[in-house]
Amino acid sequence: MMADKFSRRHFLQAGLAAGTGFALWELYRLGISNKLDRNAASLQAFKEIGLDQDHLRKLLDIALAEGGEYADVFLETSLGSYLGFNGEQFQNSGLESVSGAAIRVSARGGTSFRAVTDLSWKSLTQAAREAGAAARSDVRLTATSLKPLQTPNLYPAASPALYESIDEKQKLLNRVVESAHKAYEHVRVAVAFYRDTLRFLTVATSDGVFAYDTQPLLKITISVAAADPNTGKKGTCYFNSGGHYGLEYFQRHPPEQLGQRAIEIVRNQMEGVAAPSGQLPVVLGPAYSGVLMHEAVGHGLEADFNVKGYSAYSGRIGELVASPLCTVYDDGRRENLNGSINFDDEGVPSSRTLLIDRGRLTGYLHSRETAAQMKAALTGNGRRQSFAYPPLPRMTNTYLEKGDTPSEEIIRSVKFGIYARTFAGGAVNIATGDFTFIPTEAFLIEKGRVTAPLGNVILLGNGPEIMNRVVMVGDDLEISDLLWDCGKNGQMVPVTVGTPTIKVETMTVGGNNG
Amino acid sequence: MADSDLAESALRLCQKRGAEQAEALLIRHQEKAVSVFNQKVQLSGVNETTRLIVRVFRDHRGAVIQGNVASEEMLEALVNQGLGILPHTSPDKYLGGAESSGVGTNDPLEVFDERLAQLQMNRVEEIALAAEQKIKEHDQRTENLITTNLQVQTQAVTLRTSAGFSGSYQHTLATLVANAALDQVAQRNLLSTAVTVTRSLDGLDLNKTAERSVQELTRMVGTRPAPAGEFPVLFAPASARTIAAMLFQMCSGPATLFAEALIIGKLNAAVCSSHLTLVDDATRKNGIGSAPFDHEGVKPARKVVIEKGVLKDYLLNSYYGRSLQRGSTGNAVATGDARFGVRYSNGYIEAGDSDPDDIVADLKRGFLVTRFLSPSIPLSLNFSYAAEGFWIEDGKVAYPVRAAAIAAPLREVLEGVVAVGSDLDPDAAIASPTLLVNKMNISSLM
Repeated sequence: MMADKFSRRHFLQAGLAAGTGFALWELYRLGISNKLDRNAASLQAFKEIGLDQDHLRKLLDIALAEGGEYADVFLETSLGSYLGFNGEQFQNSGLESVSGAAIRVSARGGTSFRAVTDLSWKSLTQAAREAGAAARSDVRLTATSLKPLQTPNLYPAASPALYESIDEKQKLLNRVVESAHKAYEHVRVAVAFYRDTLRFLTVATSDGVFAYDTQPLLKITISVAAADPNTGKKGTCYFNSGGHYGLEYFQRHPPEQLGQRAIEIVRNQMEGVAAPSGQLPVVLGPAYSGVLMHEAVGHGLEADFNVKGYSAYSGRIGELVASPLCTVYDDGRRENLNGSINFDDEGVPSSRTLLIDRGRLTGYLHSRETAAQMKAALTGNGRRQSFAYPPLPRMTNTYLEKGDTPSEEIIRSVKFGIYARTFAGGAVNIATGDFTFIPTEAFLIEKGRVTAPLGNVILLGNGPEIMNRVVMVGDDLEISDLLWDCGKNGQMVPVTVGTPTIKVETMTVGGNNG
Repeated sequence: MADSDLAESALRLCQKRGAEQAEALLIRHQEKAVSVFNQKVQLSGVNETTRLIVRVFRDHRGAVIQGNVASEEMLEALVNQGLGILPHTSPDKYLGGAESSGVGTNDPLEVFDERLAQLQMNRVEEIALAAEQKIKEHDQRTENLITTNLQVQTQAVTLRTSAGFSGSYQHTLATLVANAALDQVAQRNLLSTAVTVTRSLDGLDLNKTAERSVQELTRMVGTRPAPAGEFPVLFAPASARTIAAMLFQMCSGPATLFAEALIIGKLNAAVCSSHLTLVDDATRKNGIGSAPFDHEGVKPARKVVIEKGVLKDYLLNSYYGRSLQRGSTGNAVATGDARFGVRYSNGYIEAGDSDPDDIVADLKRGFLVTRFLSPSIPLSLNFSYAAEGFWIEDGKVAYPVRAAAIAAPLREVLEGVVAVGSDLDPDAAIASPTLLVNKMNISSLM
């Protein structure tokens, strides 16, 4: 696939002028990565195009030449491959490579930011000068010596999926689509889409952090539409699976499971009865229902909203904001999960942050900027979609700690209510704390038993109020392997959620049946 | 290297390496962004990115390669990668670029404003600061609780195709977002968001943005829960446009792959209420979605997609146009898929003849939705949203409702539109006048 006439050196020189993307590709293809661990390969790759530790230190000095309290340089190359399969044709195939750098200078409570795709030294020094000139400060600072950041590797994939053969990936898609068709005769369309990315990062900061990382990400999505000609009923489903893995993920999670699970959701929709609406007891199943923690708790605890005083949780540290049964963490340190990061996009190691301790609010999620503003400890939550955006406080993997009630007992306790298991997404109004999330799979609970599947359901609540109405917490904590993409200020970052089975005393349920 | 030379080189290289058809689309993007809080510039940023999208076809197979490119060596690598993928894709007789006939237009459609493009960062900061000040002047209570974000984008788009199309244009876009809050009104914070999007510097009306921001805030003081049950639901333009976007999505080429199992069926079949006429107009001067050509080089057009409830046309690019034995409608948008995607340009539901105040006055009881609080769910056959709005009692707005779930099967909502207002905003990229749906189930947050 590569041009034979290019030597590695030739290729890397081309990369120097034009961005690192395909230079990195070549670096891997030639097997250089075999001699290095993955993260070191990232370091080596930027070094090959002249961006070593000394040069990054020089860039920081240029950025701070006109004063400033803090500066950082962020280098990124993201490589990705993708393909789609509709059961007959392999289409929607391609490759993408995005490279760029961002330079940031903070002074007088503000930040100036320059992002460029041209990684030549000329372009980077100009960006550093412009960022520095825009920040301007009387505070004179010299960047301290850069020291490599040591963190455990949270995504020890055997080999990044990017470098596996297209044939292997096509076999996986075939298995996903075939399993959906096998599981249900009335499937009209089943389309599977595969994507892997490999994100190479380097962060250098004026307070001496030099961090480099390689983040693999793998995702298979299935979209299914089914129609039963005998009943006229229709159903659709959009479902995915993956994480920070290589293709070995599918040894433990056979792709057939994805197709079968999608069909289960579609069939439940098609057989669903009209959902009741009103104030009802709601039992939320394990794993996916963690979207409640994301919408009702997590967003409101992102510190930028709290610096401004907008959030329903602003100024409430130490207060009871949830039932004493609730302990909530944001944990970026769990191996291979969608939201896990060795360090954040500001070179701060990720952490397990206790947000709510037995109902009491204990902390917010911080970027460097908000931690400085609130004089709080760093939590490693400064994340960005790519070099082209400034970092913001963002969640990683947010979950409710397990309790000690068996899930069967929780369901048995409900005379008439809703059991919601799988979700399509949600949203929150930060100021009021009102949130919504939309189940794609929900059931009636009647006399302590899960009975009929429900058609159209939407759940609505107020974060602090609902968290105070959590009356039972199960012993079956699961973290969702769905790959959630969280949006904020026009930026998407990968996250995930988790929860054990929980019972909310009452919640607003919207359905087609008044 | 100049953009046109780079695109030309990419094209020639693709052909030299064996592509039967090829396209090179180069998008050079500059964004100046300022974020202001409490009369202080919090973030002042400039980002400059370049993206080359190369689409190659051979033996009815296609692939897309995207990346940053600034040299011929990199181009060569990019093109070789793309052609290397082709044997791994399936042949599809409809794959290929736009036909040479009917491509392009020289009309720039007034989508570029030199004054906006040349705006210096200090001026962008001044405007964002002034916007915040305006909100404070409208309502002193918002002091210390206002954030304004101003983004000024300039894009240069260059396209070369092996069918002989060669074109380039620039466009500008300014987006002003104003968030204002009221502290602890009735034990709850309130937050409003007003957004102004414009192609020109003159279109940045700070007064209007401030007024809307404060109006949206103060009208939500004193919320009460709405009654539960089945009621008529009135969608104000800010929420009704989601229905317009939903209709466009259902009438677009890619949706036809799912059509049998979804809502939209064949041409000339009734697909929604006869009160609804859906139009996409890419030829609008100064339009937010206007461009002299789409990402395949096809010239812009005005299309009536749904006429009085009957499906008349799809939104198509050249792939879906061929697969449906129709031509492209000029709605191609570059994606990583060799078929490319489809998107509306300036889409709207045509204005009706009812004064929205009269629609309200005719309602005994109902829910006026001003804003959706929840996202749309892809492929869903249901219409379920959490919404903010007002309860209507005896033909008058009675009180604000901070959040209520509204739910009904999607088909029932689309068929249940019984009145269309006359209040269409002609400037928005996606717009709808007020729409009245005869009944939906409502369940309010208590």
